[in-house]
Amino acid sequence: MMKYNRFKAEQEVLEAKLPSNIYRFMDMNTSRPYLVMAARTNRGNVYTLRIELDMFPDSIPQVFVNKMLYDCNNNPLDTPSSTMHTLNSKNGCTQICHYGSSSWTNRVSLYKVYIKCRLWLEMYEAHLSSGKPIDYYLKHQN
Amino acid sequence: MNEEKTNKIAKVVKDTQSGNTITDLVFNPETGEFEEAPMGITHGAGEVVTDMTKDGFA
Repeated sequence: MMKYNRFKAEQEVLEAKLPSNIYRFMDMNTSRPYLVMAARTNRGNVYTLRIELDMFPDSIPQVFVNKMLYDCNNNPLDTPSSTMHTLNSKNGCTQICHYGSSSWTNRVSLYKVYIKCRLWLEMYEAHLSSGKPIDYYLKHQN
Repeated sequence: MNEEKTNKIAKVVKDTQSGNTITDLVFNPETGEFEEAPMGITHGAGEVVTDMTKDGFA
């Protein structure tokens, strides 16, 4: 569970870096807190990201797109895929694989998680255009 | 036009991920878009995020 000081620090970072109308912390006084963030790609498509905060920052937060995404062959992105940088879906929502355990520390901010997921969305749309897997654009962690 | 923008930034992302570029990846919070900028030059409208993504994806 995120401590109050950390929550305030995360809020301050987001306030400094992003418009206040694109994110909202939800259910923060419960055991299942999460952060909802809007992400608009360069192509103009808008996605909603749900960042689960129940284990943050001690563990990597799960990040879901609030719908099922499909690859260029119309297959759902609902399973772990190294080439597409995805994990198991939940409740019909695609899960983005952003940080791995080797690069995660409890000092990683939610803003950095957002930037990586926003980049994943951009490369997802590049994949739809080119047919190349997402890991053609986004390298694997060492 | 929008697809051109996607393809252009995809090339920038691939190049910055591989380190074979003199271009930085910039996130512009006002537009929500990724942009490119010459490496090392302060980009007034956004923040350089190249390093944030260099640790790769799982």
